[in-house]
Amino acid sequence: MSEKSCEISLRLNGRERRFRVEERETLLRVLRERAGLTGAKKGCDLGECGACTVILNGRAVNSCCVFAVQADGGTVETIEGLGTPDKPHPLQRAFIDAGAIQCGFCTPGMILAAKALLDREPHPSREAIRRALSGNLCRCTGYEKIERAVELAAEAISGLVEKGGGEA
Amino acid sequence: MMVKTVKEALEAGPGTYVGGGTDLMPLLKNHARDDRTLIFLHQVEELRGIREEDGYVYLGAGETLYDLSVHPLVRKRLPAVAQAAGVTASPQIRNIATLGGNIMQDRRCVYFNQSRFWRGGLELCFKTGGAICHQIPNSPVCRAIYYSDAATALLVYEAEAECVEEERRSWVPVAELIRRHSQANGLACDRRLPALVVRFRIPVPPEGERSGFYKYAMRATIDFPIINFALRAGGGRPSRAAAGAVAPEPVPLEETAAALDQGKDRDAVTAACQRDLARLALPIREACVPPAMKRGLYSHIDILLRSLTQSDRG
Repeated sequence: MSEKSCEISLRLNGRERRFRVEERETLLRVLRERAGLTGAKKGCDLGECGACTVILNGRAVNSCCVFAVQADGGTVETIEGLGTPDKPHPLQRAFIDAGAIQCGFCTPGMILAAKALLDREPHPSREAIRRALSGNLCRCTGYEKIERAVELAAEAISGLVEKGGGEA
Repeated sequence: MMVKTVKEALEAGPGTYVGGGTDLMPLLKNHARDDRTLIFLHQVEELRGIREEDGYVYLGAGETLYDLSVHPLVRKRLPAVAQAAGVTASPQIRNIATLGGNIMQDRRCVYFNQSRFWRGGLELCFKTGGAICHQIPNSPVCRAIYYSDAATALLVYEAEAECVEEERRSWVPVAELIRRHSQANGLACDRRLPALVVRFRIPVPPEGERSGFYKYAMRATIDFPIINFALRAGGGRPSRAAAGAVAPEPVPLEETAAALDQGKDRDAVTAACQRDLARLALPIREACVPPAMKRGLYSHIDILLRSLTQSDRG
């Protein structure tokens, strides 16, 4: 570690974590190399493709373009914190049901961008979904199924909330 | 270095002030810049805040583009700023990029925004510490373009920026700040303008004024503009119009504004804009955008004029 390293603390997927990071280190690198959370992908590494999207303090960000020190004291959600194979998050379930996954490289970023939207706006229009996902590139699906998946997830989450059926 | 007050930021210098960092990060990764000292401003409370007071709207330099785009006061008083902030880059970038950082962004050029390996085959240009502009080899200065969307909008509202420079705090017109930043930004990064931008203030527009912003880019999201326009008209004061992404700084469209004030029709205002830009724009080679294509977009102010007319009717 250089003299320009410092310690940061994150609430990462619900757990308090501390990391010693270099001043110029990206949040993506800390997540993948230190925390072992490889769901966020290193795609373009320039903030253009959205494959590295995570939720920082409730907002979707490109973790490849966020200095880790900027996340100090913040709350970070990655795809690993969303659901489990036995109990997937409604967005994960909807992506499977809608066939919105092909190679899967963009999927974690798409799901987290969608989650940030649904947390803020539970019943988004198709246009709002398009805007929210406009920073995420997919080279396989053509986006139609992804948009449909987000609509399905919104319906499912609303149903859960109405039934008092647990946390989305 | 992380700082919590403006005083700490000044004491931490000289260095590069980092707002959201989304413009700087790719430049560091590509070794296009080698800033030695980074001063992170995200915890400085004084850089936050959006409020109306004493006839001005104040916008903290540390406010994110997303917050500006959705804030009711900005949308009501300064629609061109809200619209510009809302179409800059992508949602992920807007969630962390700041207004101050957007105004102080690096100018861009296809010979500069490349990897170190790619640039290794070229002589150093003005922006990398050399003495040539690869775009215009006989130019005495760097001709890289300034692509901020928010800057074009701030210009038409005659915004001022509160800056701290050499420990002196003062309000300067945003046009002047950008001009000085742009000149320094055409040189190697250790020659940057040593100004910390604290906040912006804009005189509250009069009732009845119409204003708006328009951007054209290859893709509606993520991409920098190929051209952008902002204008305000009505309200009992002279109109103003400006265009961005056409030169090393946004350009004021004075003949266009005069045509608006003379009540000329849309075609005549558009023609005035084309003449303004034929005189003021300094197009260069851009990725996928030959200068001829950019010139063809000078008439796109017509789209902004039409949308303002429609909003009047609506």
